[in-house]
Amino acid sequence: MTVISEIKVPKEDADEEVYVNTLHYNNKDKIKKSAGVLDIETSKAVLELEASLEGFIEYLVEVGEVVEIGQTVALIHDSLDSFEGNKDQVVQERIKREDFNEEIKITKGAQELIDKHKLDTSSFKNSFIKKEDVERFLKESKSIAKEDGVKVAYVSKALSRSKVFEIEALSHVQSTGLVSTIFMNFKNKVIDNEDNLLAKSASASLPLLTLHTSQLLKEFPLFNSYFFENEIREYSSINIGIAFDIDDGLKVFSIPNTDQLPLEEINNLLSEGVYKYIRKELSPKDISNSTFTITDLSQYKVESFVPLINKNQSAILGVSSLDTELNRFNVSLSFDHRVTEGKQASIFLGKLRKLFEED
Amino acid sequence: MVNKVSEKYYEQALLIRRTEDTFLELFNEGSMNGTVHTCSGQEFSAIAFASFLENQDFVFSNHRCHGHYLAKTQDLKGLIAELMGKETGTCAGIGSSQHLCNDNFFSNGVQGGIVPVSAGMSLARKKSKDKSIGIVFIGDGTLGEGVVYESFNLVSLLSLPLLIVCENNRYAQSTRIEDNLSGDILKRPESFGIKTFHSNTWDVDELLKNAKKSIDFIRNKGKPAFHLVDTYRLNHHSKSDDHRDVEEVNKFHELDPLNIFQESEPEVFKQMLEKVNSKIIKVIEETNNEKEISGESYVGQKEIVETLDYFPLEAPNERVVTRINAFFQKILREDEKVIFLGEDILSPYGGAFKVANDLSKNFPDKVISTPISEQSIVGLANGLALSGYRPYVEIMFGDFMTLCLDQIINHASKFHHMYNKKVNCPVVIRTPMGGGRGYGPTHSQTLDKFLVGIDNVTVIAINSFLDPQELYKSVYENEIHPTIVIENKLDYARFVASKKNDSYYLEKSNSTYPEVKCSPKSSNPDITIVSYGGIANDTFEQLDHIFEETELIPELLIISKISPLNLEPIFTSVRNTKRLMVVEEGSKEFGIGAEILSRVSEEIEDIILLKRIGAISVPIPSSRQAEEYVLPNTNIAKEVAKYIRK
Repeated sequence: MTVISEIKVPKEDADEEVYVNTLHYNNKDKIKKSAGVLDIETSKAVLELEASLEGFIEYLVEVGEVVEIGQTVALIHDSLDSFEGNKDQVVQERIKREDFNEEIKITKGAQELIDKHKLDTSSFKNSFIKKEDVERFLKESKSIAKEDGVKVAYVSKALSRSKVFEIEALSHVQSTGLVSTIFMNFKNKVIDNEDNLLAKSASASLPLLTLHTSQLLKEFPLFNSYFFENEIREYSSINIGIAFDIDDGLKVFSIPNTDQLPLEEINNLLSEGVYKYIRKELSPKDISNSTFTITDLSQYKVESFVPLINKNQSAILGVSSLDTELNRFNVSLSFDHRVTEGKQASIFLGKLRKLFEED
Repeated sequence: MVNKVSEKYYEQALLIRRTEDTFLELFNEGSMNGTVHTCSGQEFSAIAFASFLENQDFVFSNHRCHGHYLAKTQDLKGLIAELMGKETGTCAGIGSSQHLCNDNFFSNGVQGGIVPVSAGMSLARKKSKDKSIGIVFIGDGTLGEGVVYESFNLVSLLSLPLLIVCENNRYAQSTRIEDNLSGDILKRPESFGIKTFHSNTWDVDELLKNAKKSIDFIRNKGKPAFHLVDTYRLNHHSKSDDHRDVEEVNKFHELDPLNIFQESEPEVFKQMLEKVNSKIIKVIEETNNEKEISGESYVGQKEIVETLDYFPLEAPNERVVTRINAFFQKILREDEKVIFLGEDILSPYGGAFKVANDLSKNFPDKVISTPISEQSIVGLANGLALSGYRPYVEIMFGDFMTLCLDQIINHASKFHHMYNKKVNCPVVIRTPMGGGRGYGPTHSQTLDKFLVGIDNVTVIAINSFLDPQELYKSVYENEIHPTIVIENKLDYARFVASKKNDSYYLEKSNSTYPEVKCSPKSSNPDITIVSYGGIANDTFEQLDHIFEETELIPELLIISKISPLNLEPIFTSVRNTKRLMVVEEGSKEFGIGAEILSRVSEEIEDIILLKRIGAISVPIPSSRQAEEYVLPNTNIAKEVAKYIRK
């Protein structure tokens, strides 16, 4: 006759808000323990939230709703009697709103202006194009032309929700403009391990890099911290997040207490993470709570790149592709200048190279 | 002259007379509200027929009903308290003199309409097979009402156990029968094949004998009969409106059995009078200080506000007409109390628009094909509904609903409240409206405006976006009062929820009668458009044109319940858009749109635009071009644009 469990949105890598993607049941459905009850979409991943107990589900949110970290999104009742008001209403399927795939509608007034100025309708973000939209566009493009002296044609497309969240997550640290990146080349090591999924890929160095980074972070806690309201907050554990992007979008897979794990364990966890990624089985636990991120673009013939720091972190390590002729690869470290500085970053990265190459 | 056996009838007659005399005295003193019609001189008619009735038999009486009431129920206290306006009255003082209801007794002050209602109650009794019967009392004046003859036809055709007693007191209010009625009274029912009886109130023994004969005939044969009782009213029609010749009145005073009894046996009469008087005085004294019902408790319940929630539309991939038919196939199969009635509904024809397709083939006992008698079809259904049945009436064209209005307004709508909530009348009347087929002035009109705002009556308008089965199911499950369902001729052939527009979400609310919301997927709407019924389809189809012409992104709300209105979804939308346009197919003046606009303007202050679109107020022409001109259906976007530019 009571609510026995609450399902809350877990703390993510960077997001403060997530988007409700799918509800797997109807209200009042009976669910089993560990059943996936709803999917939330973060800037990096779609996560399935599980029921901790068996019971009857009551959703407090709808598909399409944006919810906050820590917000209760569903309740589990031990019986149907405890539903509020005990309404005997027919349970109906929740609205599934697909993304914006509508065609463009243009008012007569807008069409006249579009024709007159020979504009491309894809320049407009909204799907209902009014005269005022075209007028605004013309005014803005005129001012761009004035400022830059050049009028550049462009196509604009609506941002996906995950992209919007990603921007929000990444702009947090980057927007301060106080971010630097340093680069170093690491000599490659041959890693013989047939069982390791990563062994045959350019990411073969990842387990070792993860191991040494986690050890070094103990020595350089400022890289395992974040800047918050004019103070630096140091994380008390070291959870390295590995950012993958194989074929299902960018996701960050978190290894809790990385610094306390032997290489073999890290190896296994990473392999497991890749498996889960491919099977889309990454659970919220797997991808939440990272305190430092390693992002790996080694599969894409990248010589070097500037990785962007996630919200509530102070640094990120970027792994580029292996230069097979020189047998080396580039590693970059972006860091928040409000938390640390170039000298410390250089020492950190230099030590990491030494540890990696001499292992 | 008066033997021991008939003495009790005289005592009853005296009680009726003295009770009514007391009412007149109380009115004169100013201690009674309203009006009264006494039956002084006619009492023995009431007593004679009531004497041979069983408890389960019913009596339906008219404005002059006190005698019938006392004879059938013996409830002196209930009657006196009712007329004194007290809570202890038989209908808590709500109905008073002309509107009584107790123990299988009913009365209504509107002439004629009670006859088909009584026919419906008799039909219910016939179906129950318990041999019970009914009596409806009318006066000679009521023979001027056409519905009486519709009912003669119906009761004879359906062979119903109903006794129609016509008390001919020679006056229709103040008009002499010679100036009021042509031809022969008895030949009227006879021509419908109804057995007739004839008596008078001056020969009491003969009256009693004939009353028994007519009642026995009905009970044994299960057929209707007509009993003409010649009589004379010794008092005014009502309270002080008598202009009759005094000599004539005096002549009937001399013929009056109670007066004769008083003269021939003064001692017995005196004792009887004292007994009767003390009985009446006792009740009046007891009632005098009793409470009247409060206005609040009479008006009763408040509307429940539902929390709005929206869900996707379901598209069953079937036509509207198929879905409605399927609903009736289902409830006729599942609910023994459901009756389907109307004109031309039998298989293989199946009704003018084929909603009744195969119903009579599958449920021959529950589908009743009626004569062309709209008023008495609804009356029949009202009587069935009062007797626990769930009748669904088909009126072939919406234009013919005007013929049913007396039954809807003065009967179905009022029964529940005027009988102090003792009865419900869950009758459902369905009818198609709308033009676009060139049917011309009397077969094309949308005259829903005449059917809305009627107390206790819910009006539903089917559209092609919601599954009509869902709406009918809601009616079936929720309505205890009369419901009118307006279907649309063009919608019948449309597939349910088949229309799409990629730029809009189409959703339905969780209301009992869901609103369909068609809202832009990615933009905030600028204008709320409310529509309903068949024209909702046209409005939806013209959404893109509306945007193209007006620079305003529309949000369309298609309402299903047009009376009483569920305004919250409209308020919610207009609070956001600040602009409201109502699109209806009926003519614009005094229409549904007018009501919606005024309610919205009462609720929301900072409104930018409030407009209506409706038909031009002329009879709808048949020729294509003129019909398109008069009806708004094809011109919605153009009309909207005209308003916005202004």
